[in-house]
Amino acid sequence: MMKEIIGLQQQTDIIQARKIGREMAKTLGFGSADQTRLATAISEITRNAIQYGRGGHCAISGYSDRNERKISISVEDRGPGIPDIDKAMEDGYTTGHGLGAGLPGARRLMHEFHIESGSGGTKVVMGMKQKNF
Amino acid sequence: METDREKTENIIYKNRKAILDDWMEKIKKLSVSPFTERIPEAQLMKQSYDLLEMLRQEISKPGNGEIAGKESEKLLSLLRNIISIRAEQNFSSSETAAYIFSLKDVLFRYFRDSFADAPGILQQEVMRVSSIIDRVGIISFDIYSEIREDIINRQSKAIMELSTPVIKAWDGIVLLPLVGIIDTVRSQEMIERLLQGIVDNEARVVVIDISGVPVIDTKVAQHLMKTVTAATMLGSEVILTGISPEIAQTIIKLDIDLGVMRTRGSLKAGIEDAFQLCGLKIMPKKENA
Ligand SMILES: Nc1ncnc2c1ncn2[C@@H]1O[C@H](COP(=O)(O)OP(=O)(O)OP(=O)(O)O)[C@@H](O)[C@H]1O
Ligand SMILES: [Mg+2]
Repeated sequence: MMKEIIGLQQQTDIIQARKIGREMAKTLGFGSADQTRLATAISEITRNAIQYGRGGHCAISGYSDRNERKISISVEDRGPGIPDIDKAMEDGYTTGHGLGAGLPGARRLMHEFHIESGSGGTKVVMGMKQKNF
Repeated sequence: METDREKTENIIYKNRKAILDDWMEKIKKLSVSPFTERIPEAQLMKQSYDLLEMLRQEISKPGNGEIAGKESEKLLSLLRNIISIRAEQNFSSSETAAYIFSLKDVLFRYFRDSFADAPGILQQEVMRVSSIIDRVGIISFDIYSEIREDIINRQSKAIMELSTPVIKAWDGIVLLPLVGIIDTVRSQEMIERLLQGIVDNEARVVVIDISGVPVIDTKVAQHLMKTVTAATMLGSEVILTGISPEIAQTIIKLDIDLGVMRTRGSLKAGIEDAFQLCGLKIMPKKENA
């Protein structure tokens, strides 16, 4: 079991988070396409936490056993929360002059994706797994 | 009658050679790497001597120890001088602060000897001088941060310029190979340099190669689209090359529409396209009969 926690305050923390994610995925034996997908999803969700959630932190954990390898990302912030999650998950919905592709895109990039949001902040948990043979 | 302030000033003045020596001894011990390797000994002595002199004047001034006004200006400019040498030499902020604060211990040893029979005055003077040195320390820290920030800005600017070259590939064709992380600052820089490159080279076609960009997320995609729009407004066609299979997959998952851009897999294919758009053709060399 591996675990890393990265504080999210500024732009460079995003780069740090996805670098750590990519490296862990590589160590666990994920291929380069999966590494890129993971890094991109981390990039989207951590940037949201900084841009809309006033920062927070990102926990990356992973393991590999006889059956499977898995990497999980949990990004939490203490921002104002997302008033309408269904809407935020729609393609093209943005309140920040973005493309509105971050949340729905990250969901498609990963195998698991959960989002919770309230007035106390937002939490996104996502995972990518693969069978070990 | 000599005031306490004058007494203190006198102690420093009379013992200035010894104080300076003790202080130098102390800072040499404080530093991890040999100080004098980074700052020549003679320069260090001279600056420290000047600093001690100006601090003595500051200490002799009536008032609440505010470092301000005409008389303090020389002190401030000397500090800036001393600190900037340290910042440029990669001294850490704590090493820099220690240089100033270590003077306290040294001075107070001399105060203790001279005010041995007047503990009340000793305490008062130690407090007063201490607060002056604290202020100088804080000012030094501000100067240090300001200068370091400057240095970092300078360096990152240099890196940015290095990593965003606009290359003239042929008459009317410019090439923009992107390497590394594209953030908002860099994309701004990228657009500016590209537009300048288009104008300077009267470019009809721009080939942007992204094979050196590790992650294309929505932000990077947006920056790329802006770049393309800007280039198009100047009448250039843009060809995007170097999209790896991995990146192509993520772009599809993100559902970003790069349809507005002409894309080619390899840089070679992109250049061929560019030639074609300019009415040129690459052909095998014909042997002269
Ligand atoms: N952590 C968060 N806290 C508060 N609001 C958020 C958070 N994450 C997303 N949102 C809201 O959801 C919207 C959609 O997010 P999404 O990442 O899909 O698009 P975007 O960030 O606007 O643009 P893009 O990610 O394409 O650059 C955002 O515009 C914002 O209003
Ligand atoms: Mg987003």
